[in-house]
Amino acid sequence: MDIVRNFWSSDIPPKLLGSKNLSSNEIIFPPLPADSPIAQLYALEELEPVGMLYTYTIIHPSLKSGLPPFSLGFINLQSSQARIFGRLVQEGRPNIGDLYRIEHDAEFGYVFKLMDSN
Amino acid sequence: MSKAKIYIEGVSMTRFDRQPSILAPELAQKTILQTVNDANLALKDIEAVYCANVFGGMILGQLIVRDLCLNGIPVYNIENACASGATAVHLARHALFSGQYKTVLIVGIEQLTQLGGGTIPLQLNDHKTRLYSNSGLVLPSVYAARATRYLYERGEPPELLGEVAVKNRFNGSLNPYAQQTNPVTLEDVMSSRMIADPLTLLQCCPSQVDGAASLVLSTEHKNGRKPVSILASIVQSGILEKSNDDILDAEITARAANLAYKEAGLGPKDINVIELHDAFTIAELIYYEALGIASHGEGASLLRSGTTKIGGSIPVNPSGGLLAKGHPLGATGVAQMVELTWQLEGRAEKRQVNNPKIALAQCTGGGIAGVDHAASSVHILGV
Repeated sequence: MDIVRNFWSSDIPPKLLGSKNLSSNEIIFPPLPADSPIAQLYALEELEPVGMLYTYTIIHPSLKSGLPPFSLGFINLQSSQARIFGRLVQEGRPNIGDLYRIEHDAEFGYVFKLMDSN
Repeated sequence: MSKAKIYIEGVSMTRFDRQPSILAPELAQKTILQTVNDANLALKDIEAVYCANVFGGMILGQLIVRDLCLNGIPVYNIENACASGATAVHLARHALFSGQYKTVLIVGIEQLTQLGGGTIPLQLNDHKTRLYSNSGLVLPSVYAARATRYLYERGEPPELLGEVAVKNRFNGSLNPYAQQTNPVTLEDVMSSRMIADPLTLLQCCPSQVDGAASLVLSTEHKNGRKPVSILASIVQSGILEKSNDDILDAEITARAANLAYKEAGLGPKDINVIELHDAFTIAELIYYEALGIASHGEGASLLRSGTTKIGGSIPVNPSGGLLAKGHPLGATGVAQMVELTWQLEGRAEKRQVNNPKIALAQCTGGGIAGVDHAASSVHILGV
């Protein structure tokens, strides 16, 4: 599965893209595929690059997996355009209300990086 | 649609447990035969079979009944995630209302040990679910994220969540059909291995469990016991979530509950006993409010008051719930109604609550890449 689909704009730096419903103005993420039967009901929309952590969890994989704990969260974009789920990147424990920047990631397509850690 | 009464004439279930060496027909046939006997009927009286299952593959229902010599009666296979069993009851009730049948059997079955362990795989058949799953979205992470926000907004300690596990695992210790029958202390719960912060292992329903449960529904009451009937049966689906949704709302469950209360002509204050979908501890606290037995923000107080213990005025999950009893997906919704039928008939033995007249079953499940669920069902039973 190619999860790094075309949901980044061609801007420098690139911005995350969503699909905006032309009737309701609701934004969905990720954007609909161009060949979606309902694509004509939506338009591509650039999303704010920064969001606030709404909630999170820290996953502790089983010991036999050998994987370290990792953080996941829901980010509310600053203009309340959308709430997006993804990996959190920071030192230590996340805090609700912290600001994160959405950055490209080769494995997950994007991650949320704590702004204070930049 | 006719308003004929639909009676639960017979019920039974297997013990929920790891049973990897038992094949589906043997697991399900055991409860089918017991349920038909419980209804004081014979297999020849069954006019259709509704089989609820999630991971068992195609035509599981036909496989299960092949050797029961049912003469080719209709078998319907139903998948609706954790609400599969309840959805099967819902659809069977429609057929009974329409006059298509007078007596049908619903069987829910799941063999999660066949999956080899780990969390339940989510639906991955669209771009959003695939993307989110690749980042780590699984059901425990969804519930845990809800728990984090709950503790944050309500100013509660993580031990509040642990109290749900203590209550329901005590109830499970009274239930011979439960997978996990050891009562636990709050210290046991909080010191068990962290799974998805703030949820520890004993706050999660066991993922390795097999089991089956079944009901006979009929338009005629002839079993010689108290007449338990279905007063309301609702199935609802998840909707596209918005950026400002309150994830503590459990919107789909609240919507299903409100419709069920309306259909039954009852309200939350009329409910005497509840089996709800406590797949993780946080779920029970959220569903107190979604079902209306606690006001917004009062779920924690309701738990602490003891109201939802077996001896309380609204016992919740006297069976031990999913946390102790186990959660074989396709069987869960049916097993909830088996337990509530036993409670209403006064047959729940050590975990019997005080003379209930009205009972509510709620199950919900699946994910379509938001926080709330994809399918949710509420049934109200009465005697």
